[in-house]
Parts: sequence; C-alpha cells; structure tokens
Amino acid sequence: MTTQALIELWGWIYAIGLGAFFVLALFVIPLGARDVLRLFGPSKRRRG
Amino acid sequence: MPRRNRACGGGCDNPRTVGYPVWSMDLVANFAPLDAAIVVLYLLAAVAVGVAANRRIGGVASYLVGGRAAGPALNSASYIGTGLGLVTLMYASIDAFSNGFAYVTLALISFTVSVFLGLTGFVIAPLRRLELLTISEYFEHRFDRRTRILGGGIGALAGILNMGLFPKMGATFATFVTGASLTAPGSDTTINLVMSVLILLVVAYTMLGGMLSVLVTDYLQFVVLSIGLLVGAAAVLSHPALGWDRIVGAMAEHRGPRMFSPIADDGYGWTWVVFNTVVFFSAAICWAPEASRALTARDEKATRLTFLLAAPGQFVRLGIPALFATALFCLVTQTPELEAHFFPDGLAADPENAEQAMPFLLGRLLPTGILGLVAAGLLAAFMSTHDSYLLCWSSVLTRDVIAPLRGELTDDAQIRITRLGVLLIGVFLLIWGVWYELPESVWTYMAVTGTIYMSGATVVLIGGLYWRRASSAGAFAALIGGLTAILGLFRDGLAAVTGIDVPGEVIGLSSFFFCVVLFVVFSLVFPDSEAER
Repeated sequence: MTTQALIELWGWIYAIGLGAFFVLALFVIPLGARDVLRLFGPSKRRRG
Repeated sequence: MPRRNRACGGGCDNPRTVGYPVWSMDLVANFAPLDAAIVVLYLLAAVAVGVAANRRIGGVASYLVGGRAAGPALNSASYIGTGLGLVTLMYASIDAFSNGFAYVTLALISFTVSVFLGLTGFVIAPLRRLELLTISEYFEHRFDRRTRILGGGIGALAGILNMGLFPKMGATFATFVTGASLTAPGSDTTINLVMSVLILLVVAYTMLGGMLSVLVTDYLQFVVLSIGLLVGAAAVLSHPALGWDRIVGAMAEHRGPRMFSPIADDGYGWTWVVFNTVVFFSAAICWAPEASRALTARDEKATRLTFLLAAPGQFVRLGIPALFATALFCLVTQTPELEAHFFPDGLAADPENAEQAMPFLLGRLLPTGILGLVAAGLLAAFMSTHDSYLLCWSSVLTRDVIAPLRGELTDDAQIRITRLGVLLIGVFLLIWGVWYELPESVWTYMAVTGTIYMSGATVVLIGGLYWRRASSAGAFAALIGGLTAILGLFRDGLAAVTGIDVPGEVIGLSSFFFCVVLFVVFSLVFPDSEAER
C-alpha cells in the first residue's frame, strides 16, 4: 500500500474507533450507573 | 515569570504563527486551582467509595469478585477502566512518539481480540460457568494442586514485576501535566512524593473495599476519562496548528512510511505483530486483572457481552494517546525549541524525553477546567489500574499459593491475608519506584514480564479446556517453560556475552512456542491416570 492509502486507512480507522467509543459511552455511562446502584442496593449484602 | 499559554489552549488564530515562543519549554501548564480542586475531589471520592464498599463485604466472593453480581455495562466499564490505565496511555504515547500510527496496530489487535472473545465465548464462557474466584483455581480443578500453586506463584511474580514501573510513569505524568516539574526544586523529589501519595490512597481504598470498590472506582474513571479523552481528541483535531491532515502530513514528511505500517522497511516487523497478537489474546483470557472480569460478571451472557462492549475501549486506550503523541510531533516540527528538547539528533532520529510527550501536550493544549477533568481522569486511571492489580495479585497469592499450602482458610482469614498482601505489594511498589529507571520501550518490558506467566498459563488454560489428553505433567512443564521469558529482562547482558542482540518480541514468542511443545510432549509422555482425570 502507498503511504497516502495508509493515511486514508488510518483516517477511517480513527473515525470508526472514536465514533464507536462515543456511542459505547452513551450507553455504558447510564446503564453502568444503574448497575452500581444495584450493587449498593439495600438488600445486597452478599455472602461468599 | 513565565507567560501562560491559555490563548493557545483555546486555539491560535494562524497556524503559521504557532511556534516558538507560544509552544516554549519555559511555559507553565494551564493547570490552575480549579483543576487542582477537581483532582482532589475525585481522589476523595475514590477513598469514600472504598469506605462505603467496606460495609458491603459479606464474604470472600464479595471481596474478591464483587459477589459475581456486576451487570454487563458496569463490568465492561470496569474492564475498560482496568485496561485504560495511565500507564497504558503513557507507554502508548511513548511508543507512538517514535513509531507513529504503526503503533496503533496494537489497538486494532486488541479490538479484534475483544470482539472475537465476546462473539465466541472462547475460554471466558467456560471459566465463568465454573464459578471460580481466580484463574489459577482452574488449574487445580482440571489438573492438580501443585499446578495451581505453581501457576499462582508465577502469576503473582510476573504481575508484581509488571507493575514495577507503573508508579514512576504515573508520577511523571502528574508532574508534567500540572507543570510541577518546572517549579519544584527537583523534579525527582516531586515525582517520588506524588507517587507515594497516590499509592497510599489506592492501597487504602483497595484494602477497605476489595472488588466492590474496584468496580465502582473503575466505573467513575470510565465516566471521567471517556469524556476527557474524547474532549482531548476533539481539541487536537480541531486545533488550528494541528488537525488530522497536519499531523499525518508531518509524520509522513519527516519520518516516512514506517510511521503508518508496522511491516514497512525499518518498521516493527511481522514478529512484533504476531507476538503482540498472542500477548493481547493471552492477557484477555488469563492475565488476572483483565481476565478476572470474566469471573465478576453476573452470568455467562454478561461475560461475553462485557468483552464485546469493551472492544471500542480497547481501541481508544491506545489510539487516543497515540494521537496525542503524534500531535506533539506535529508541534515539534513547527517549534525549534521543542525540536531541540525532543529530537536533538533531528526529526528522523529517535526522540528523547518521549515520556513527557503526552502530559506536555495536554498540559498546554487543554483549557483550565477541561484539563482538571482530564487530569482527574488520568490520575483515576493510574489508581484504577493499581487497584485491580493489587487486588488480583494479592488474591492469587492468598487463594492459590498460601491457602493450598496451609490448608483451608476461613473467609475472614482469606480477606485478612489478601488485605495484608495489598499493603505489602504497595510497599514494594514505593521502594521499587524510587530507583527504577524507565526502559526505552516500556511496552516491550511489560509484554516480556507478562509473558513469564502468560506463555505457560495460556497454553495450560486452552489445553485444559479443549484438549482431552492434556495432563498435569504437561501443565506443570508448560508453566515452568514460561520462565524462559525472564531472559527478555536481561537482553543487554546476553548481547554483551553472546554478541547477539535478540529482540524482546523474539524471546517472548519463543517462550510461547516452547510452552506449547513442553505441554504437548509431557502430556503425551506422562498422561494422567483415569482416576486423576
């Protein structure tokens, strides 16, 4: 591959990678908060 | 009094004017009291989480794997948080400063491995079904007790050695991003002080809260850092002196095609690509701090979803710091003073002070407030990697070495010993971090130390799960064989004696191959009896 083609490829990789992470964060931040609340819920004292 | 460069942090009008003195080494970072307040608040919150989690601990499963109750969102945030450590960001930026986007190949490998494991459930699903507390427990379940003890012992040795350079890299980041290195009487003193305070905080909340506090602080870190890193990436890409075209253009013009392909002439080469593919795959399935996320999920489906959801995080944790490093290179090409500091032998030569690249850029590019958020996130990243490592390796020592040797231990005794282990490893890190010098390629050091355990453990794990004829003798021999990777730590000495400089990745890959051979040969020659099976 030429350097120009590689540069273009990395451009696409970054666009997709950063975009996917942004979407992931949008989902994981609220759903993770729900999971944290469940972990610390009033009846969640766990036995081993 | 040095001039602050807030104007440039908000954006410079004309890229042609960007250069000395705007990006001067004399300038202090944009770090202000507001940023310091954000950082302090975050650190206090992390300790508060440890105290709160301490009240929820009802047994050893709750302390070591959070009661196996984490949903996929929290578990994947925690998994990304563990991998997205400050150390990861630092070594990625150090290597990318020299090797550009070719280094980001590792991000693609890591992404692919995570998707593969999530889709297939290979290794991680059967491990979760067995309801283990540590990976080494499987070695006793499938083979025998001595294999478990050996696996646990080698794992803890490799893991603690692997952690050895974490503190110094974290503290180097903290002092450069805040500009403290420019004002303190001696930067070494500052680095050691910062390192000590951070380690003490991590040890405190990990001892108190165990895996519950690890899960929650990892989650907090994910929130803060995902926002901070995306804002940082946007700042780099939209800055008038930077932007994608300028960054890749500078790399291509001054350092050539090897900045974009690992297999270009004078690049990393295929051995590096293959070795790192094996390392990332192995780490995901048997490196305790990461693989334990397969055990903390509430069920098998959540385990697989964790790895699938975490895939974009696997890309970002290496891709964004690499972007920061290449952005600084772009600024270096525009600023004679920066070139003299980072590339005294010319822009095509290897850089110096590469560990300062990312914190230097962030400290001067991001405006006050956002910088505090990013700094808090990165310090959180420093802490979250330490907490996972401290807890995982201490629990491996407790459950897989001490308990099998001493006979059964009560839950309370296991928790007490694990807490003591966390404290002792913390003390070791403080002592080690003071005198340890950062190696040229931090990543290779980490991959090689990890290989001491991973080469044997991966073979034993996969062989045990998917090969019926795998035997205890084969497992024991393979774990011993992994110790050959230690040679990678003495490369310079070996080169002096033999006159041959063997690259770290060749030694690492050879160790994996050696373990496979030992495992297969010993299993076939010394099979387990029917009763043992």
